[in-house]
Amino acid sequence: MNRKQFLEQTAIVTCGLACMPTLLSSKQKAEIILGHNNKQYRIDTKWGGLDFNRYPVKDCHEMVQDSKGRIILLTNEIKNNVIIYDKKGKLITTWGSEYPGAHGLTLFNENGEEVLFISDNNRHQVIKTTLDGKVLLTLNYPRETGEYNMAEDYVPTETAIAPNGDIYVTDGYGKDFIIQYNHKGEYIRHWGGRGEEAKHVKNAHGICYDNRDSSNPVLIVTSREQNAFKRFTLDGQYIDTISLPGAWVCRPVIKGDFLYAAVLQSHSRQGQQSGFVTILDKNNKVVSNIGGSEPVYSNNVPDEMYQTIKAFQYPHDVCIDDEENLYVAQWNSGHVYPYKLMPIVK
Amino acid sequence: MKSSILLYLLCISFSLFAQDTFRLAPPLLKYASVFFSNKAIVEIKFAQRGTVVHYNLNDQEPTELDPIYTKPLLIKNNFTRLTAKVFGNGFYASETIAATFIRDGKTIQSIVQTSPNILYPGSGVNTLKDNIGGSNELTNNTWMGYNCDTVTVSLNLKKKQVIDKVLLHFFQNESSWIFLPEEIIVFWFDNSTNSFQPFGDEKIFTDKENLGPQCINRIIEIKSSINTDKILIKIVVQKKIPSWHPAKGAHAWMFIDEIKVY
Repeated sequence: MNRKQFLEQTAIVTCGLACMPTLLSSKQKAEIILGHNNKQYRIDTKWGGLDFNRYPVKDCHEMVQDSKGRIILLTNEIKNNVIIYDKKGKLITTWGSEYPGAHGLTLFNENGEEVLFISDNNRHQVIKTTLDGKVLLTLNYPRETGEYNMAEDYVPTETAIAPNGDIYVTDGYGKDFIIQYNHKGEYIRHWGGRGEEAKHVKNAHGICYDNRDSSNPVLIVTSREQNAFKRFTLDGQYIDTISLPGAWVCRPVIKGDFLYAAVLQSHSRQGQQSGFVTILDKNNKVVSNIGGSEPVYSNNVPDEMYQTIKAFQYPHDVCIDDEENLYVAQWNSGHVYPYKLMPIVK
Repeated sequence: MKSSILLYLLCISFSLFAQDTFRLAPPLLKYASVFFSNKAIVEIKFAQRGTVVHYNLNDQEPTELDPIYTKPLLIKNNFTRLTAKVFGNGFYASETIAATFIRDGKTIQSIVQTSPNILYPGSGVNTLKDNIGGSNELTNNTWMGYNCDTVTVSLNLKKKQVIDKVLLHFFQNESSWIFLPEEIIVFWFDNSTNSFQPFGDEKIFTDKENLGPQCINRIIEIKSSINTDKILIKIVVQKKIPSWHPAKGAHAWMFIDEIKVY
């Protein structure tokens, strides 16, 4: 080996080792597995990364998967309110420039055609669109309820759609009412709102249609400042409360037997990028906290939950794909694109 | 050459799948109050397998040589500062969390202060002398929050007695616009002249950002002890948030939960 060959080989090996700092560590680094019990994951923080100059994001608020397997992200960045990825994180397309307060995103299969419902905080409206952005219906502030004097009082955050097409809107940043419409957008009733009774909610940030018990489907509504979900019948009768001490839960997302939710922050560490993701089983018991404390129950209520690993800053939504991978969108977290979490198969 | 290229490719392939390294979050300190009469009991919580919490009571940055937390801590000494930090293989160690535990002072008979903002009213007239405080939660009614220019606090001791220190306990969270005051001025009532006399004062400068939310106590001392039963305190709230802050120029908030006299 001459000097040139020696230098070449040394440079190659040095370069390679520089790319692999973990091998240089004197202490064997443990593999990072997030979560508990049968809901544990590896994380890929690079999954949704794009060229920020071309496809910027502000807050990444919510995500859904369509029947083609595509992952649809909603952001309040009006250069591209909707960013559509494949499951590998490759950009497929973008659209939308008219949703400055884009916050809630719900997908619904309407007689074989998938549609989106966008809740816009700034426009004080809910907008129904096709998957490529054509507007089908706009719901203005619910004057019919008698609870609102002006559009600004109403700041919708989320929708849930029942199989019959009924639309449920949560006014999570307004007056915390849940407003029910039929599929045409005609007002039916409203409930919730603020107060001291169990039926009231505080920061009704999210809602979902829970059909895990197919004979008795219910609505689950977030009461984020109370660190809880509240269950209601489809006509708005209060059923019970799922207490989640310490967890500022965002919207509930049902997939199979499980309920998933991003936790914006830990109650004991507010304003300190202390979020995680929680997973509840079919009995609505916490079985895993991704980046959070191990779930422990005392007297049928979970002990206070909190962030333990700073994997996330302020998670705002979680989407579960057809292969049980999770995608986490984050609010106010330095313009980060969504992360992907892959389940550990045991 | 071939083997080197193979090694290079192996290294690159490893690096492509290299996982992120995350920082552990700080542990939770659980206590009824940082103020105590005889003793304070502190629990440290961190439910994450494969990690340990190291702590000390000497106000030093915890290291892996410090004791491992296993059971609730009993604190009896005034101004004990507990610091704690989590360590775990595969993670960066957490930031340090700290709390200072403060023993009761002279009995304050009554206290009257400027009305706080309606959003942060505290628990009522005794908020600043109820021995309850030191929480990082602003909405639990232990804190009085102000965004006015000056806060005046007038307090009467149970009897005339010798004092040489006044402690004020504040919350600081600059990212939420909560700053320490610009100035604290303390007076004592002199019966011989029937007037308030200067006790001491402190100007506080916020020319650089502080890390994260924290409780901070400020102690105003007088060089020679005095004998009195009345104290008057003027707290000057920061009227303009400093230029390094995104909200520069806006009026700051000031949060206080307890006053002690020694």
